[in-house]
Amino acid sequence: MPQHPPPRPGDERTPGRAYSARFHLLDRQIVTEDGTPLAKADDLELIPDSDGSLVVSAVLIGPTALAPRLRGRPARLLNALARRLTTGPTDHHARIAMGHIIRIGAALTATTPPVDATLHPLEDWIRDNVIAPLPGSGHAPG
Amino acid sequence: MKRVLAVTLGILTAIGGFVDIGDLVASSLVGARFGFALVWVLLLGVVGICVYAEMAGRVAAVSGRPTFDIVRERLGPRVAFANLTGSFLVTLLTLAAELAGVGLALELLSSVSYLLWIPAVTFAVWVVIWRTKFETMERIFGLAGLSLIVFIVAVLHLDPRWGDMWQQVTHPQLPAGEGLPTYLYYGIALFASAMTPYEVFFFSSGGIEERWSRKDLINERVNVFLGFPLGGLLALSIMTGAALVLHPEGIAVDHLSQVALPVVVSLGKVGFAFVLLGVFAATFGAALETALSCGYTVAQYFGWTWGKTHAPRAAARFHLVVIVSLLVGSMLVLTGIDPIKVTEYSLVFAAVALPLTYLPILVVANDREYMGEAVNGRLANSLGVLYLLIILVASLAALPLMFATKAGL
Repeated sequence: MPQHPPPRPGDERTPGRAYSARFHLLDRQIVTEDGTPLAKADDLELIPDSDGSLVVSAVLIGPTALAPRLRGRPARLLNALARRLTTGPTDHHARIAMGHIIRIGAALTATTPPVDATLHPLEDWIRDNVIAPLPGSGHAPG
Repeated sequence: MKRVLAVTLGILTAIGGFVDIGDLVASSLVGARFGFALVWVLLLGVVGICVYAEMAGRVAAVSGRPTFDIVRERLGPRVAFANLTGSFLVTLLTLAAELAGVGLALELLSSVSYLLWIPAVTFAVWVVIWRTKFETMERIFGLAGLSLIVFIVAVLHLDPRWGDMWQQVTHPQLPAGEGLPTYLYYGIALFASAMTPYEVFFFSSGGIEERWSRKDLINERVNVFLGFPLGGLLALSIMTGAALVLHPEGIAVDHLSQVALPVVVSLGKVGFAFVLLGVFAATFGAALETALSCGYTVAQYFGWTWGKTHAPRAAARFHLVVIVSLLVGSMLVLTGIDPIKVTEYSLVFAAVALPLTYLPILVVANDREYMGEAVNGRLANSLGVLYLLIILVASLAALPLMFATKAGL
């Protein structure tokens, strides 16, 4: 059952179209193909191309990827909080390779990624330990 | 019939968002203290919330992106983080005030102290969020909140001299003994009670939960242009009642029971029963909205799955934020802090935080990449820019006025 509006047509990536990393990619919402929010594009992974120019290879997600971009006290706060709350290795950012991003529009659409245990460790932990044990947690109120 | 029911989102937002504890308190307090001298601010606020909510709703319907998502996209993570902190705390403070409002309505009914009701009220709010369908929730509380129409009946029944009233509305004068800074301070609180940010968070997120699309733009506009003016009319009648009954007697509003007093004087016990039902429904509805808005803002900033249409286990972090907000809000009330003061402060801080939430919506509503043909027209832009200026002035003036007047003493 689609819970959110499905991605709009016309946002498919077309070869040769130029996108601004800062404007079109950073801080955009990433949704799955049925429109469910997946994550924010918290940072980008850049690798040098064969001719030396930088290419966006993946979208990095999670609070540890976001924290350095906040700078100053908020950055330290969020980073400390994220490190204490994480259940996985701390030096690892979850990433979605650019090949999985099929539409760039008001939101980025990713092909439904394989269930990746490192994508949302905090969500998984909260679901298993806090929310799921409460009665009725599997029932969508609608 | 479906069309009629579809309008209930606007009515709930208007009743719960417009006539919530903030409006009950601000309208009544201002009416009792300044008579009709601040009616113009209320009208300014109603037009403002229509302009703002129409843009935010249109952006949500056309681009599918809710307000706080846009806020981070346009302001960048750093400024948006500061905005998130501010908006979240204001919404949390408002949530605490709404919970206290529900408790106070029950206290007036049962003579059992509102503090004893708080745990039960908090639990009930959570159960409704956890289990009830979004549309059912809107309909029950939106429609029950309509019993606040009793304030309009009460004013008509008081049979005031309309000519005199009109004269006082159009020629506002400072009552004897009040300073200009205090007048302006309460003006800003009243303006903020109309343009509370959480109304727009809730309205745009609610539109997405109801799966609005470009086709629903008419529905969205009917919601805005019917719901908010209706809320404004109710607020106006609350203020008028206070100005007619409380102002001449010099009664100050420092408890919720004084808000009901004009209706009791005019209509007696039956009127009081309607006020209790209306206040209960309006504050309970607003408690739902503010609790959900706490979750919406955080989840949309960080990009989590959010929303009532998901099973809670599919949106675990969102539901955890809602639960923690409810717990913190209820504990704040249980400290015994004065609910009327909490309401006043939440309004002033809301005025301070408003521009950072308003500006990104105005920018995106003009962006063809998001909006296609549904960008702002000339009217929406003229009003949008005019209100940006008003909101900026109110935001900059709010804290200095607060300090200068010792919070309106």
